[in-house]
Amino acid sequence: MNDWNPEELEKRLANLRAPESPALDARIRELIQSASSPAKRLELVKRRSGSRRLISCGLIAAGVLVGVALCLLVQIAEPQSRLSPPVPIRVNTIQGTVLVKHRGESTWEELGASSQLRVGDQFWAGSASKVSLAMNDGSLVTLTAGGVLSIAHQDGGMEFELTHGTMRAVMREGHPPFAIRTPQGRLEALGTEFTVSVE
Amino acid sequence: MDSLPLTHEKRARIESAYADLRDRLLILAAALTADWAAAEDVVHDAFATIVREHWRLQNGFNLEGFLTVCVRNRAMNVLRSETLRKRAQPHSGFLIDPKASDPGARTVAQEERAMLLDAVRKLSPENREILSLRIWGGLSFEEISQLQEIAKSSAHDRYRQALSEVRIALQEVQGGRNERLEP
Repeated sequence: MNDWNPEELEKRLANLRAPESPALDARIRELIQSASSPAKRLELVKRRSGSRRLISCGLIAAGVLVGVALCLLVQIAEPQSRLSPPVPIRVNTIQGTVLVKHRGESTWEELGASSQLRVGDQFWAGSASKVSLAMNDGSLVTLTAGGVLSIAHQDGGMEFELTHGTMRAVMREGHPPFAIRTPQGRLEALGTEFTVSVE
Repeated sequence: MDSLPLTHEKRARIESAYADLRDRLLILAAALTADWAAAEDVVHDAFATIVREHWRLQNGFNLEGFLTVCVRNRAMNVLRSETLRKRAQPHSGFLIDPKASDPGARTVAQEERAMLLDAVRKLSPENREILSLRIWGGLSFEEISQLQEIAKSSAHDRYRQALSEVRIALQEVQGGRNERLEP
């Protein structure tokens, strides 16, 4: 410890090790885990929903009808008012796990065959999963495993945003304007079949 | 985009960054905040930021630089609030090792860490930040100069000055110990 020339000092400072901290390690692990697992998020959403029902039952049992009404207003009416307008797209086929998140929401839900799709909806296809969306004119958009796709807007046509993964489009002749936005740029569909990938 | 699930690749990259940078970021945060508990919170917040904003993890993204700047910014926020809070309190020591607060139980490595960080703590805030960002943040003098809005040559000069001051502080500590050992 007696040699404090600048180079040695720099080396000693750079080689310092922080104290062990299992608590911090666990916090970071949990942080990464919670962001990695949409299934875990779904469970959390379901658990929260269960708690809300329980609370509502308690309020009814106590006879606080006004409270229940407020609860319904907050939990049912408000989320609906935030939803974007529906789009003329339906879920054609789903394979595996595909999640959807509506604009303004922070949680992911499992996409169902009869789900109502809206502007701003964001889809995530899990591993070994894919989803095919059908437009009114019969054109199809397929999102493959690991892909993330959003419905951007629909003014007179349809625009999607692909932020990750691969999507394939099979367009019918005479289809309305159709565009794909990616982090690298915007593509307009001229042909009838094409594939877009974002790394 | 912020709440998309992490892909396996991004998750692996963040885990690997934590394994590789944990010590340096913790020491950087501790050198700036002078508090291990606050340093842990600062490092956790930095990783929470990249987990939340994992869309940034594209090819060519400088994750190490991002985390370093996150730690520095959060540590500065902690320091500002702590400065206000502690202004009226007497000095209570620096960086008590959470695992070895009893000096008799410290290992040589813990002793050295406490001594080095105590010497760093005696620097002026500006010099301490430059030294910390250079050594534990791994930033270049150009990056430090941009962060502190000073000339690159000033950043370099202040770094050299900081090292020199740390060296003097350590020699004083060493001298004091030798004097106590003499009969």
